[in-house]
Amino acid sequence: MTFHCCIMPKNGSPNEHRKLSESWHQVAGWVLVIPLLIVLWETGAYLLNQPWILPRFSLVARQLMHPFQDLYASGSLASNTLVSFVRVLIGFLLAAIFGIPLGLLMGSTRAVRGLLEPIIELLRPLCPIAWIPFALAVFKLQTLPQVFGIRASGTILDQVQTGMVFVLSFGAFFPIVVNTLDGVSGVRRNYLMLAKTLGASRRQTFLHVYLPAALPMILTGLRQGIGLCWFVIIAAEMLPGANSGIGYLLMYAADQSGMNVVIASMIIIATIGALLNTLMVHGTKRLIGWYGKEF
Amino acid sequence: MEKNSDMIEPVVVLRDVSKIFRSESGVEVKAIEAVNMTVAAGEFVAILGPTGCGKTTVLNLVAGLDAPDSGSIMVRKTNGSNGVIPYVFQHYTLFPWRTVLANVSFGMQMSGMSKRDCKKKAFSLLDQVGLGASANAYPHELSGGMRQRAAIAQSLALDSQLLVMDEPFGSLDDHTRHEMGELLSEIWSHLQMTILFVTHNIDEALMLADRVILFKGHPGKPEEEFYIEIPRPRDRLSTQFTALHVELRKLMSNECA
Repeated sequence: MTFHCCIMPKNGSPNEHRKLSESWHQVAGWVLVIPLLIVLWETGAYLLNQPWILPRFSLVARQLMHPFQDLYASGSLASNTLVSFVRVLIGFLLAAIFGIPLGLLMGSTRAVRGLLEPIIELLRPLCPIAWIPFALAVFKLQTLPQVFGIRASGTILDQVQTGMVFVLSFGAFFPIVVNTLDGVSGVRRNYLMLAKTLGASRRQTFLHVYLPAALPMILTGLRQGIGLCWFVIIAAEMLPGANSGIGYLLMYAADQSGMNVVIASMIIIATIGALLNTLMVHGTKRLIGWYGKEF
Repeated sequence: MEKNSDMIEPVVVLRDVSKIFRSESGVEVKAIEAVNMTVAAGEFVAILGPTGCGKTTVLNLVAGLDAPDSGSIMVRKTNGSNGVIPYVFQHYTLFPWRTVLANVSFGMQMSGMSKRDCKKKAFSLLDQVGLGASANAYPHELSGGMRQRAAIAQSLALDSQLLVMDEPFGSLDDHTRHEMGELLSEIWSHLQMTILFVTHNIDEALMLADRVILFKGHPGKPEEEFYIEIPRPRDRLSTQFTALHVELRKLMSNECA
């Protein structure tokens, strides 16, 4: 009895074929779906003819082409976006500065974890926006330079209210702490044993095993944190007490029935959010190329 | 064919060593009981036995990763290694976030060696195990055999006289396993090291070791001991080899029944 076993590769390797179709899938959304939606929008808006509800895409695009034009004496699209961005950056950096060390400490010291985990788990589900009235009551409309007694009038820092930074930091703090903590406490015992048999001290183990092993999770925490900040700032700027920022401009334009400015702002907000995420994902890829490929 | 290895400079001595593990539900399991064992300097000892008879427990105790519940363990500290005993595992033998070179340098870096010296020594060790070309690769880019080569280089970097290995070639295919066995034999005779090697593979134990200690039972303990006096390089097909192979297989399968 003989068996004939014959597996022949088809023309071109199967991998090559997959690669080709994958790249096609990747561009399809950009070259097909988005242009199609824009065409539908443009014709729909033209037929509807009610620009205070749905302005034509071309009108919104024209708005986006003039980002430095002053709108309703409230600054331009660009200047308000910059204000929001600086607020987010400061709030996020503060959250990272406090969140990462605390997460590392909690992950490596059981006592600290036991002390702090309940309060963190209790405060974490609270939407950061809920802190705004409290933050306003505490910090009033004080700006960050005012708190530190620095004169910064005329600079962009003059638009960074302490209460907003507080709310942003609070929002980003939790995903950063919790992910760092999970990263540290999830380090494989095998790597700790390996480090021990290679003569690593406790401090060296922390520096050369815990930290690099937790890095992918720390970066995930940072990515979630900055994404949340960008969510929160828009909502925060739409509330009373704000007088600048892209969220403020959006709300103000809506009151003036300037729906083209509203939609232009929405497009800017979405684009920056997507860019931040892409930056965090691709900017850190090289650092953690090993992740998910363990053996 | 008894040789008294206890008399020639023992590197490892275990006296009446027992180890009990407690599971999370509080059940106590005796892993090993009253183990007496000696490894002489320069000896290649294989601990052979079926899974779950306490072989790894013995290695962990020797390497200082665990403490015994009773009995005493003496491991002679050797120069250079600061009392650290390099240990080659079956899995997770390298840090995935470090390049091969950085992995081999790990132990030297921990002992405070200068970066330049680390690199120099790591490169020469990698050449020795045939991985010079992969110095800058990451572990996930290597095959299983190459990873174990790197792991051997990593442990050699500690300049320890004693090396313990826990089924280091257990997840490799036969061909690669044989290659790795040859490499290890070469290194062992070249550096005149003492190796304590755990395996459940009879062929591997017979190819590599001076002495095979057969572990059995629950709790595990050394049951029989064989001095393998087949001259090296060994031939798997020699009558001496096959006879021993059959004998060990019988003894091991008795255990299973």
